[in-house]
Amino acid sequence: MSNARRERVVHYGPVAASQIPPNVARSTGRASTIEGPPEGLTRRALLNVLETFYRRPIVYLLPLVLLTALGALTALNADKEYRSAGVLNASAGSLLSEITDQSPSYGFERPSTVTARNINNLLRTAVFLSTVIDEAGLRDEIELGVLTTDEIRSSINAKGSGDTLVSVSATTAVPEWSQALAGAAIHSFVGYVKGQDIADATVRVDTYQKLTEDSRTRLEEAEAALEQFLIDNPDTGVVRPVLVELEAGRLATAQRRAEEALQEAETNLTDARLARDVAATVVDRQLRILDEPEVSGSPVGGLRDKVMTVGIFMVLGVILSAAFVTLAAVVDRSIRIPSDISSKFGLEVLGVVPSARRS
Amino acid sequence: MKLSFSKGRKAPAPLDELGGRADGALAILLEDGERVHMSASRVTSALRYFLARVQAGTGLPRRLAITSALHGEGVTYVTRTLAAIIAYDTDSTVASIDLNWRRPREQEPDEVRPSTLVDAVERGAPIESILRETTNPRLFLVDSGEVALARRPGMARSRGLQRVINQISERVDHVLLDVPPVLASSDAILLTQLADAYAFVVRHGTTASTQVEMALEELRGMEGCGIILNRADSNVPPRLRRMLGA
Repeated sequence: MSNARRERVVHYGPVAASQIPPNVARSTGRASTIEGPPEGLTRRALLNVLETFYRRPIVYLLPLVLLTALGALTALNADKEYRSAGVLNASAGSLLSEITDQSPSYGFERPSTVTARNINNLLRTAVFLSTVIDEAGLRDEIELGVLTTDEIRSSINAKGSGDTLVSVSATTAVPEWSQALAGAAIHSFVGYVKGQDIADATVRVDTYQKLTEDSRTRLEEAEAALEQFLIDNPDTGVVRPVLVELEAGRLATAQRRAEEALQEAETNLTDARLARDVAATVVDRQLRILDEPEVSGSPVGGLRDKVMTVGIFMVLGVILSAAFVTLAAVVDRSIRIPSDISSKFGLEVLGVVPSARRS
Repeated sequence: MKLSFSKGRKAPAPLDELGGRADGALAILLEDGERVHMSASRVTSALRYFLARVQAGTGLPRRLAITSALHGEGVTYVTRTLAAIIAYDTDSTVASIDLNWRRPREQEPDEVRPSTLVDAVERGAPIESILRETTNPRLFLVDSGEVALARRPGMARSRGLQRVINQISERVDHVLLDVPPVLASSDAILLTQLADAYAFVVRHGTTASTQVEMALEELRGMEGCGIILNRADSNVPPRLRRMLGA
């Protein structure tokens, strides 16, 4: 070996770790990994996931891209729909009961919440839905197959707003249908509640109505019998036999009793009617229709809804992409970070050699 | 004729007489000028760091085997680069011995083959003839030679091989053995035992941890210098890696 060559020789010799030139450590670009503190499981897992992702980012971003595109298509191709909404005031009691603090209790829930839930629950029943369809005048559309009951059921929705306000809305492709359905739902519900609350009073009215009619019939019969008796036994000025007088007295008593029974029945009927009207008034006060639905002039699903649709699809895409990357990172058993070796095998990685192709 | 390079591309710096370049890259050139190995500056930097770490720890063994779990991990590349670095940076002499036997093939009538390790083991070729000189007088390469599959276990166990390795060790300061993969060859363990210690090469993002575990289990009981993570290129943005402390 020539002297010139020997002069260029570097004598390593035994050196302490602290004596390793910093530029040597820096030149590897991995000194911090090797000399740093042992990494935690979470950090290693995160690094592995990142390594997996950045190895084939396009593949893992594909679900996100596809779902975003699908969301954009869905938003652009969404049918135009019109929404009409009416507002119902569902107070806990009548004005008087509210003033006197005698309102019926809704438990821990607000009247608006309970009422909205009741409407939505009722809409699930075929009977109530049928009432709504008839009220809205859409029976022909159902029979023609233009609309289905399921479409109508899903188009109507009640939602509580504040303590007492309930918004009942309907969303369909035809503005008039929306208005009719929202209005029908509100009126059908009010009618349903009224029917339930005045049911007892109605029974009483019906009963007293029948009693009154019976009493009237009996009075008419008694009057007719007395009249006939008096025709048959006219008052000629001659003292009538005792038996005749007794019969006349009996018939007169019967007529008087029939009159009293009729009077009582009529009084009871009046009371029952009053009670029914009061109950109906209470329901009217408890469920006041504040706003009747109107025909909507502009379709729903504007820019905000479109952005929301795309956003939801994007979030789904992110979740799917993240799931794919995580799954790939879990399945891929290859060693991607130096600390994997240290943690798994307890051996030190003394050299991290980069790829020569990138030089 | 004047050479011209494509626009915007710099001409590589010239190699010095020992095969080194100003940017730290190293090449192995045979006496006839044939370039048999070239390692980039970033690779040599990383392996210089490896050598410094080994030196700072147990010290660089006289005989170091470099092996891996599977084929394609870059053992030969790492071995030759390490040999080139030792020969270039120190005044020690180094021999890089290839122990990956080749399949026998028919020799052409006018073909002249250089002597190989097999020639020294089986046919008594002198050691000087199998040590292929390079432009760096401290660096020698030893070609493995051709051995049939059936004879490879016997070759790995042969005293002749041990004797030749010993003789080479007497001639040079350091011997680097390029050993076949542990999980791919049954001879790898025996060949690794010819060295004082071994370094294990793992290819980043390719070798499964279970395979590494199996290979290291096979090498249990032998002195290990450490692990070299090869071709460790991360596509994770540097700022993100720094945030995670990588």
